Amino acid sequence: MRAFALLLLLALPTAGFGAPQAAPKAAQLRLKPGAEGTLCLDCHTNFGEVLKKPSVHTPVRSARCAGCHNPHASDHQKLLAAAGNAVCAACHPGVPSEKAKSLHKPVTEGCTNCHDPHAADFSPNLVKAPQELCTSCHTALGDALAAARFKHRPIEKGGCVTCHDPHGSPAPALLKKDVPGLCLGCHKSGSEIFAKKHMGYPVEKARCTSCHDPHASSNASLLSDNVHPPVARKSCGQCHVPPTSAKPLALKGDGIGLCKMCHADKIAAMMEKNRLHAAVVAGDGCLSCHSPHASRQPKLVKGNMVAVCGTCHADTIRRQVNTPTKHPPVQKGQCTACHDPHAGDAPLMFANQDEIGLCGKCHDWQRHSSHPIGDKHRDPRNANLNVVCLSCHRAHGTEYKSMNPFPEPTALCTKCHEKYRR
Amino acid sequence: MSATFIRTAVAVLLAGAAGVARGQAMTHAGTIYADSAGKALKSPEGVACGADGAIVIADTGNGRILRVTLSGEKVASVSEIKLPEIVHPTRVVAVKDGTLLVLDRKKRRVARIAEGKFGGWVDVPGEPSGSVLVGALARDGAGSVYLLDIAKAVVRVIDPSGSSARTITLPPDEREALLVDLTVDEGGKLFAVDAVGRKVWVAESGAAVLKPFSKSLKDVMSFPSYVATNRGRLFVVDGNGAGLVLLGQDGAFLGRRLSLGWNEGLLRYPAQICFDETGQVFVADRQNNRVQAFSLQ
Repeated sequence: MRAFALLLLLALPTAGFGAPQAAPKAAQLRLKPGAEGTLCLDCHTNFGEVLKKPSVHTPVRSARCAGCHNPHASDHQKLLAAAGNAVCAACHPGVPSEKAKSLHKPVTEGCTNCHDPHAADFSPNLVKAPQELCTSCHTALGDALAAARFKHRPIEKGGCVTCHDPHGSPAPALLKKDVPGLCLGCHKSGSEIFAKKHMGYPVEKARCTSCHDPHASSNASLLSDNVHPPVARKSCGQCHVPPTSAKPLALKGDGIGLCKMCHADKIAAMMEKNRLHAAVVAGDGCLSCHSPHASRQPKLVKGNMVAVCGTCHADTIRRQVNTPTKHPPVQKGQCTACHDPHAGDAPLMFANQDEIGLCGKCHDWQRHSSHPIGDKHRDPRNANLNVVCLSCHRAHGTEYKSMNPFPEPTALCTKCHEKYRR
Repeated sequence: MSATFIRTAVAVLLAGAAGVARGQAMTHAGTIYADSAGKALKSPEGVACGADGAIVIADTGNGRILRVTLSGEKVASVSEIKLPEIVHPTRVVAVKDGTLLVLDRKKRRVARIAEGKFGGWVDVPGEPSGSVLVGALARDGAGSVYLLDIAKAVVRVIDPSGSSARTITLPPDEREALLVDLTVDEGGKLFAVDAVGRKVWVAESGAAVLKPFSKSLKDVMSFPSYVATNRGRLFVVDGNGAGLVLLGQDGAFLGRRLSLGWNEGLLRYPAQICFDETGQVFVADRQNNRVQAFSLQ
C-alpha cells in the first residue's frame, strides 16, 4: 500500500490522457482523494501483485481505476464504463486507423485478446511474450519458424511487429508497407551484388515474396521451400525476356502456352481428358493456382488449397466452414485427395470414377456401415442410380451432423425406406 | 427401363429460399430416364427443345445424342445419334431446320449435326481450325453463332454465313469474372453467366463489350453454371445449389426454384435447360442421370 501511495504522489497527469466519456469528473462529484483508484485497493487487495509487473497500464499506474470502470454500476461486465473496445478507444483513438485496409481479427474481437488492461510481463501490456503471442494463433507459422534453418533477421531481432502492424494497416497482410516497398527499406536494390543475384532483372519492381519467404526457410537466401527449377538454376531467361529488353520482366509467352514449353506432356495429358478445369486455360492459366517462382506449398501451389480453390469455389469452402461435421481433406485443404485439379473424365473431376472406391481410399466402408451399397443395389428414389456414399452424405458438408443432407437420420433413411416414415 | 414420359398429377412445390414470382411456379411434369431400348441416361449435361417439339438430349456419359419425340404424354420415339467425332457432348442447340449444334467438351469444339450425320465443325473465321477452346455456345434468331472462348474469356460471334466473326469482351478492368455459359434472347441480347462473380453480364445486340446485368447474386446462388431465357425472364442454373434462379428484365432477383434431392422433382448438379413452346422447361439433371420436365405456371 505504501508503494502504491508513493506511485500516486509521483504520478503526473499526462497530456492526451482523459477519462472515457462515460466516467464522471472527480471535482463534480466531490470525491475524496484517492477515490478514483487508491480506495479500490482496500477491497481489490490482489492488485498489489499486479502492479509489480514490468509493464503497467498508465491509468492503473496513475491509480485511475475510474478511467475505465464505473465505480457504481454499469451495463457492461466487470463494471466497464463502455462496451468492449470503446473503453480503450476513449484514450487510444485511431487504433486501428479508419483507413486500414487489413484489420487484425483479434482487434475486432477485443483488445484484451492480446493486451492485459492492468499490467503484464511484456510491454506493451502483452499477455504473452510477443512472438509467442503471435504464434499462439499463427501456429503453422510458428512451426515453420521453429523448423527452418534460416530466419529473416527482422523476426529474430524485432519480432513480427518489425514488418507488421498488429492492429491494422493500409497494406495487405497487416504489413506496414506493401511489398516491395517494405523490403527495399532494408534491402538496397542498387548494388552490384543485388543485381548479380537477380540476374540483372529489375526485381525491385516485382513482388519479392514471389520467390522469397519473408519469415523463414530452409533454403539459402530465404527462397521459399519449393522452388521452380528454372528459378533454382537461375535460368530466368527460360520464361522471361532478356533483362535488357524494353519490358524486362515480360514473359516469353502467354498463359498455358508458356508452361507448355517444359510441361508439354502433362498438358497434353490434361487435354486428353473429357473435362478440363477452367482454371487451366482461363485467365492466367497455370498461374491461377501455381506460383511460377517459389512457394511454401508443394507443387508450387500458391497457398493452402482452401484459399487457392476458394478463390473460385467460395461456396464450397463456406459450406465446409459451417458444417458441424468436418471432412478432414476439405478442412485441411487437400482438395486433390478427391478431385483432379487439372482435368478428369468423371463428373466433378473426381480422381476416381468409382465413387465408392474414391471414398474407400480413406474410409473402410465395410466397417463404417453395414448398409448395402454398390452396383447391385439400386437407389429406390431413382432407378438410374446405385446406392453409393454420396447417396446419403454430401462430401463438403451440410448444416447437419455426419454430412447428412437432412436434419435427422430418420429423415434421410425414410426417403428410401418409406414404410418407416412416421 | 420404360421410356414413357410420365406426367405426375401431384404438384410438387419446390421453391427455394425466396418467394414465388407471379406466374412462375414450377411443377414437376415428367422424367426421361432411358432410351427406348432401356439404356439409362448417364450424366446428361445438355438438353435442347426443337421447334418440332422434339427434345434433344446430350447424353454425356454415354457419348451420344438422343432425340426424343413426344406424343401427348408419351414418348413417341427415341433415336440415338452416336458419332465418332463427338465423344463427350455437353451442350446442344436445336436449329429450326433440324440441324443441331453440339459442344463436345473433350474436343472443346462445336459440331454441326444434320440428319443424324456429322456436318463439320463450327470454327471461328480467321483462326486456325480448332484453335479456339469453346466452353459454351448460343445461337440467335438470325443464325449467328456465339462461342465462348474460355482461354481468352471473350465471346466470338460468327455471322450466319460463317465467313466473318466479331468479338465481345468483358470490360478491360474486369479480372475476376469466369464466364461459363451464354444465351441470346429473342431481341438479340447476349447474356453471359459468371460463375465466380455469381452474376450475369449482358451485351445489347451489336455491342462489343459486356456490362453487368445483375449485381452479385452470391446471397441467392452457390455456383451458377448455365443460363437460358424465356418470355423476358432469365433462368440461371445454380449447379452446386441445385436450383434455378429467376431474374427479371432489369436483372432484379425474382425468386428461386427447385432444390437438391434424388426423388423426382428434385435436382443434383443440374446442367443445361430449355423451354418448349408449351411453356415446359426441361432440365438436364446430370448427377441424377435423367432429364426432368417442369411446367411453368
